[in-house]
Amino acid sequence: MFSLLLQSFVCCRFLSSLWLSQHSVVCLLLQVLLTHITISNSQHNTPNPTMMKSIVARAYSPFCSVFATEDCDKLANDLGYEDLITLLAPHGDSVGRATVRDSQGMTNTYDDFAIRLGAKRPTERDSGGMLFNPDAMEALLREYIGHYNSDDSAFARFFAKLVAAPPDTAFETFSQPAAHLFCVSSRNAHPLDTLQALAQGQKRDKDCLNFYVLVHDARVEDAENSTQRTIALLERAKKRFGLAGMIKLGQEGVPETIPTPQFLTVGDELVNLKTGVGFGSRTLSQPDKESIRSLLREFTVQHLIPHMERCIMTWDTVAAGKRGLTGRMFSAGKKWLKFGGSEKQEAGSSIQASGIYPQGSPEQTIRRLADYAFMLRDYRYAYATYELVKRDFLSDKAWKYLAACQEQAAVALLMYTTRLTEKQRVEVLNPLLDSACYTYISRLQLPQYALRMLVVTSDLQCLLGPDAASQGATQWFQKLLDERLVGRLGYALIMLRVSYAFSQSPKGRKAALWQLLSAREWADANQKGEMAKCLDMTAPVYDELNWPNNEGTLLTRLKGELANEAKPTSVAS
Amino acid sequence: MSYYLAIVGTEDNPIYTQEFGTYRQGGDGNSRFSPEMKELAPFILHAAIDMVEQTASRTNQLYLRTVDNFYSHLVSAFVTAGDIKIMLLHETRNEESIRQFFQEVHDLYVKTLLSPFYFVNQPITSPVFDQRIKSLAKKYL
Repeated sequence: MFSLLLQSFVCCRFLSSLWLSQHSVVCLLLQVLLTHITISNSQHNTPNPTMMKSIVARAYSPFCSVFATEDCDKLANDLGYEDLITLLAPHGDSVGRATVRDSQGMTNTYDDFAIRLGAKRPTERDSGGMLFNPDAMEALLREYIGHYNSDDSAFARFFAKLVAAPPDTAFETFSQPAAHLFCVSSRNAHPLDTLQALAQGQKRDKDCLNFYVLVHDARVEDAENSTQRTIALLERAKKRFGLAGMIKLGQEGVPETIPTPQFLTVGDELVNLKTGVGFGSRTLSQPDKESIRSLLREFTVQHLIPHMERCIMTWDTVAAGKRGLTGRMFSAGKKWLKFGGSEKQEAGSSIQASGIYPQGSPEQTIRRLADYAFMLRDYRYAYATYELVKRDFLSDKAWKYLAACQEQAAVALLMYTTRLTEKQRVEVLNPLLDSACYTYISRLQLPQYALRMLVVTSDLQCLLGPDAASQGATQWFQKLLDERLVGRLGYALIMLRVSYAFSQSPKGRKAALWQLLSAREWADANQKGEMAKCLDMTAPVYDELNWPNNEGTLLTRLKGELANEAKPTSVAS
Repeated sequence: MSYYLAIVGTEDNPIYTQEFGTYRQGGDGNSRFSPEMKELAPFILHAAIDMVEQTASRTNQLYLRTVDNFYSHLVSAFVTAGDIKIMLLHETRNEESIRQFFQEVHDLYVKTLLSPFYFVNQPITSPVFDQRIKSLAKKYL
């Protein structure tokens, strides 16, 4: 850095002696310095910051459960996929541009709108066990670190895996389906009746949109006629069920590589990587892909989003009851005028003795309302709604619900805010995180949820300027390191992230320290490549000084280990 | 309890470093830092300079109290008028004793600076200085 300054200064002196005025010399000098500073900041191998927001927005996107008949799965099988869901799922990640009307009546357009397609998962009504298996996560991180170089940071993947596929539990409703997709193929002898039977197999839920899909098999002899038949069938399906669409599979065309879905569960992703399909080795012909994309786009834009907007409007009336002055008086009244006999349970609260709110109770409905608003990216409204229902959960001592609600409130707050003052951070955000963290770890023994919350909220804080990053984010990152919520590789990754948070302030000393600590973790985990990268990162700070390379310091020891590692291989080669 | 003292020059260069333990509670004055802490301590103090600069710009006091912490360890700092940082890594909060200790170390440093053979940022290697720091540590910490 110093030598560069000197160089540029000498260069400027030379130029100024030629023809430049004193003023422009200063400008030039500043410019050179600024470029250098930006370069040294961008040297940290970190994913694009706004990418994290996009990951959160897409991970918490509307969930649609897919029901496919056996003949659909066979058809997908012929194209090289296990079943229809595996074939459709990757395309939900990028539905494309969608316009959503928020609670204020403003329309917002999002280019990266996504939906999650998957099989209906069993509802874990009471347990709400682990979010993911910590050992599987550690194994997955090992795969990522081995495979991804610095461009596609392993941290972004780790981050995406944390928020991916939240389980359908009583206290977290993100994975309750917003729509059912019933699929039948043209190979079926009685497609419409089969569809009806499929739909009747499911519990009738008026809040859930039913959509019917005809999967046309293009690889038949009489292609023209067959297509005509399916189109006619589609018309009949529309008349009978209301909402229906069609996709064509097996068409001739240039095969295109299909990326793996970004939000697979940790277990599924690990299996994928082990079997070799993980890093995008599946293909689909271009017309097939287009056909799926256009159906999903039509479904999302024309049916799913309006349906969710309607749900929000309906449920908002429930929330309005609590929101208004009378609502507050009423709930306050409930609190103070407690009559005998209802010691354990608040009068008027719908919580059951087992600590679960039944489906359709006001609390559950408001929570779903907030979730829907979150999925449609109306974060301000979602935050207000989470705050509203939080009070009920607190007075009912429904800890699981409370913690999940506080977590989402914090995330929603960080998703919409562009500036977080220190006062807001200390008085609004930190109490939310503190309370949720305590509940997750100590009351409920659900450390993975705490890990997810702390990583997401801390990382979003990194986007809010140097102060929020170096004081807010690092505080919570360190908290999760203290609580030992991650395995060894995760630990090293988080340390790198702390370093990134510190690197936003102009002096990089703290960032260098955390790079060094991370290097030590990588050394312990026997990841010499990562360790070398970290040591390189510390070079701009430590190389200008003499003492870090003295005998007996950590840096010297680690460099020595690295040199020892390099020696035997060079002898061998 | 163990302490790590560093006097840091204007260019992040260590002028003087010393490790010692407490004499209180039956201590023998030797430091009890673990080997990991020993090799890390200079880096922790170096990183804390960020915080020292930040705190110093907001106050007109020379003694900045505890400026930073690293897990269970604390860093206290004192900045001289010539921007020399006297920093101490310690384990328990003990502001008043550390303030007195820093004050005396500052006196010692200024006396060293008065020597015509000593220049700013030059490492201090005098055994007498060493001796005096140790007796100060015995007195206050």
